[in-house]
Amino acid sequence: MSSLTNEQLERYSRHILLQQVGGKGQMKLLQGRVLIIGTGGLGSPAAMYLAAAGVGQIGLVDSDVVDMSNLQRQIIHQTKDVGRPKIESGRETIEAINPDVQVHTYNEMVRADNIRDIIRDQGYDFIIDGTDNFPAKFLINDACVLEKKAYSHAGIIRFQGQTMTYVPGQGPCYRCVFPTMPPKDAVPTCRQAGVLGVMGGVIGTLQATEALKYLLGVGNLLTGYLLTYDALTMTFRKVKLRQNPHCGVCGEHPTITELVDYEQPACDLRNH
Amino acid sequence: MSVLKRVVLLDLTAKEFEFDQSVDFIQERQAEIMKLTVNGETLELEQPINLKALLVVAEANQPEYVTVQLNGEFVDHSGFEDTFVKDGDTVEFLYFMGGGAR
Repeated sequence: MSSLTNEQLERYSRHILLQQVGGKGQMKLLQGRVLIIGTGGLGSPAAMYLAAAGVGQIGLVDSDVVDMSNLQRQIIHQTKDVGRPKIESGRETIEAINPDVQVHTYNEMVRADNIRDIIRDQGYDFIIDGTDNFPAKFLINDACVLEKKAYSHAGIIRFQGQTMTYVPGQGPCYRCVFPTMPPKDAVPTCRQAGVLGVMGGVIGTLQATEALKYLLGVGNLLTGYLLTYDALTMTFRKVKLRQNPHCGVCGEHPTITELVDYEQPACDLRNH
Repeated sequence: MSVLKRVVLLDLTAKEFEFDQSVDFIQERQAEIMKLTVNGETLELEQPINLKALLVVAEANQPEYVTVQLNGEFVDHSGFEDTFVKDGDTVEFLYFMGGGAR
């Protein structure tokens, strides 16, 4: 693909009008490859906006099936999809939004023994962490550091959310801020504590924004910052973060040089 | 915009003083008050305290799992008792936030 078709000129006209995007930028997006891990509250809006924006290759990783309780916020899935694998309904929604997008699906959970292969599978440029548990969040962080891939971290709970962007060599990783995982059941997750449906929309869309900026090479990313959002007080705060020289994975003397599976999430109350 | 929060740590009340004395007392105390910025909000303290106490005073959620940045530097949990905050310090409490998919 070397130039935009007439249909693409029309579809992406509002992008092309932007000085920071233009036809060239739109081509970058069409050639862009973004991997979204978790097609839930965060991954749903991220995937849908990236699809609409014309990101050419989108990978979806999820081993879950759609549950009725997901529909309050996981807008890529619909009522008719209950019981179907999330990656299938995710693919269907993306293809309905934009046929320019090629969807790659991975019907599995990320683990130490598959995550690096998944990241390499399509040579993804940017990764979005839309997972719901700490073992996955730490695994994604460590994998992205080891694979030298930029990624967006995020978490949401109740009326709060936060996000940060890691770019290799340009700032702290998640483990710089949180060196070790909290113990089982110590920190509640959405399943236990609840979450306002729109939180994923706000934070997941910010993650998509970071992915687009990264692909376009414009603006300032949330590298070296943790952005926190409190919906009850309508407050955004951008907390400056320093790289931690003692970080176990990206510090001066890293102790994590290969991936291991971390303990099962305490928050997994599926059978309770 | 910051919300002013007054934390009185000393268990003294004005009724123990004559009126004039209490005014002097308050003025004297005003001069000693330390102002910190904790998660973007101003917090006033009447005496120096360590990070362990600050986590309680500033009502940190689950202090055992919070990450603390003092003036931009991470402070390890093992240093919470020996690290005291002073006037003008900026403290950030950073919290684990799971959630996203399920």
